[in-house]
Amino acid sequence: MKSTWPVTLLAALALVTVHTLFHLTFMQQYLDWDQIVYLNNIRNALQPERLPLLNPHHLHLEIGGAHWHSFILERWGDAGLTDLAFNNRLRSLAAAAVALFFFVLFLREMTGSTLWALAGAILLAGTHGYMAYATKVDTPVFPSATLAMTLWVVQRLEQTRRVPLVWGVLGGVILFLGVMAHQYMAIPAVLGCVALVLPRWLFPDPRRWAPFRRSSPQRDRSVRDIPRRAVATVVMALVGVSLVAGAYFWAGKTVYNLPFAGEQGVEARGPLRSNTFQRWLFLYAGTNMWGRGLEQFDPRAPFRGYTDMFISQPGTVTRFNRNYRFEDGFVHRQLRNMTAFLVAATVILLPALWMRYRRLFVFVLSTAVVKILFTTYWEAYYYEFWIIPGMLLVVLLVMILHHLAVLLNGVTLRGGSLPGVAYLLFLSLVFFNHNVQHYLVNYSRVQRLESYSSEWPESYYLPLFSTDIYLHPQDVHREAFPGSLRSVQ
Amino acid sequence: MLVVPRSTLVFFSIRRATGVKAFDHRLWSIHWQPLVWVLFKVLLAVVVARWLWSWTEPLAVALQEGFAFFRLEEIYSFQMPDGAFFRRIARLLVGAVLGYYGVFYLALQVQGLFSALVIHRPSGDAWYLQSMVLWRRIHSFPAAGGTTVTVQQTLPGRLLDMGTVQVYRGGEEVVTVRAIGAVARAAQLLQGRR
Repeated sequence: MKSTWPVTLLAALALVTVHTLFHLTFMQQYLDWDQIVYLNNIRNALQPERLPLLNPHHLHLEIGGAHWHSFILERWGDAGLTDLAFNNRLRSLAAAAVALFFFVLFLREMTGSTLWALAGAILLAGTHGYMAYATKVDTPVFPSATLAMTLWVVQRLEQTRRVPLVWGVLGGVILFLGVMAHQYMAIPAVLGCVALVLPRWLFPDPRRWAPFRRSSPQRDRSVRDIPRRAVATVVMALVGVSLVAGAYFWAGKTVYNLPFAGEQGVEARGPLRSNTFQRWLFLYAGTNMWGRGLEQFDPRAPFRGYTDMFISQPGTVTRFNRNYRFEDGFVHRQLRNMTAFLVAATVILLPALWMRYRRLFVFVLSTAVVKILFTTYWEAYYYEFWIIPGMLLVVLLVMILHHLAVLLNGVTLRGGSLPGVAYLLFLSLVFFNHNVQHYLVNYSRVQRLESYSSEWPESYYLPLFSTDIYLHPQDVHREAFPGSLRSVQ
Repeated sequence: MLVVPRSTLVFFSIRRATGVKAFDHRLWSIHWQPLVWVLFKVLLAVVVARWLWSWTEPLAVALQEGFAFFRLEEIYSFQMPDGAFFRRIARLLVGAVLGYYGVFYLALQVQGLFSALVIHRPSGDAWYLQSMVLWRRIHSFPAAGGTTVTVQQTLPGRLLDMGTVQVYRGGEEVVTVRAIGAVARAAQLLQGRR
């Protein structure tokens, strides 16, 4: 990192502080199926006489939520932070802040400019998916945080010249956190390791073809120290795999005592005791509820999920459903333009991007492609699965625009970054404005319930609404913004 | 109290770098920062840091006003953070910045205290000795083939340990190093070592 890193750190801190305060002002209140189930699981995990639900899909969620709530109660309970749902929304918000923080650090190091980093992070923060899940009691924001950390640590491992083993161990811990956040984070973990150990001849020195060479005492950092990087990558993989295996064995064997397939005479415990260890490990894959997107392919599904990731549908359209409704307005046209530009520029500039960003480009592009395919296969119309691809596409967009800016700098000498940064900020403004208006205001001002089971008793979900913490629970913005916002639909 | 003059320490470094056994002062030209100048810079840094610290109170007020912009006290029934909280945050922020740059800057001054450009007059060989523990990072520039070494620094550049070292070899190859600390790499490059 450059010597100006305190400036970058302060800028990142300022961004996450503003992001946190903004979301506290517009804290979502609505509850849906997932949030109700997760919050009840967390509430159960707080009861010492019950074994917590350890969902292998995202092992940390319930017990992590219970520990977080206990911590907040102990530390700030006297100040009024006693609400289970609110405290867990704060937990999601903290994860969103971590994601933005590392996103800024990563983009800063990639582009060499804090301005580029802030523009990219603001674009991410303004997307519908990120905005929605930043304060929702749900899973995707945690893998988002670990993805940003993974991008950052892969970048460090690619560039570091000193003590790469320390980075390797740290990277292993981050990969472990990623898989704990969600099992699908094994994809970026594997691809990150692959990108780091790809052979050097795949990344030739671009100066080889230059008409003249400018001598420099600094050698190219990205092509040096290959053995040390490979060793650090192996260390990262080993640490990550060991910790993940340890966590799953702790949960599946120590806590639940689940039998291996074919094992007899083992008395399993806990809410998932009817499963074998193997079946528990891949619980969601074995239920046949998800993962049919490729066999029953409907092209509208991934387009709906992708669109929802960036911009909100109008408030009357129910989320998390197969209602394929697409708009044709200014905001949607911007998303289409951005997507067309992203695809065309990636194809046309692929060799140039490969040469400039090297292993990072390989990592970002391969992870985006694999995650898009996986999401299309798994749950194409749920935009929660498009958040990781969306983050990676934002990185790709910054890469492309930054590459063009460098080329433009060669022509104009100054101001080459202006069009790219301006475009990022324009997209941020368009998405942010649309999503706040059509999503956040409606979902934060009043209590709202959607996509829940009619078979549930009211006692299962009604107590989860946060009431005590608000001055006006039925219209939380009544005093702060009296009559200044559009009415709730 | 044992006082070791800087020249003694630098000569020790030169002997380690060159293998010269007997040291003849008349054959060597040594240029370094005067001790008074280093002390003045440290004093100046302390004065500037003290002045910047006085900005913690206005920063705390600005942070509190920025927090009020989000109107959380009109939404939630929590106990909101008071002025003491924002003063703590402001002190933390300013203290972190001053601490980082202060330690960085003071370390540079100590390093500068024991750094010197040394030229062997008869041969024209030049060394830039940049070291905190004296025998590390010794940079040598053989003068054979018409090599010359030029160190150019403005006063602000000197304060920030920045400047330009230009090394000319044989009148053809030019290596420009923007940071004094990178001179070692330039020397290695010129000598063909990687």
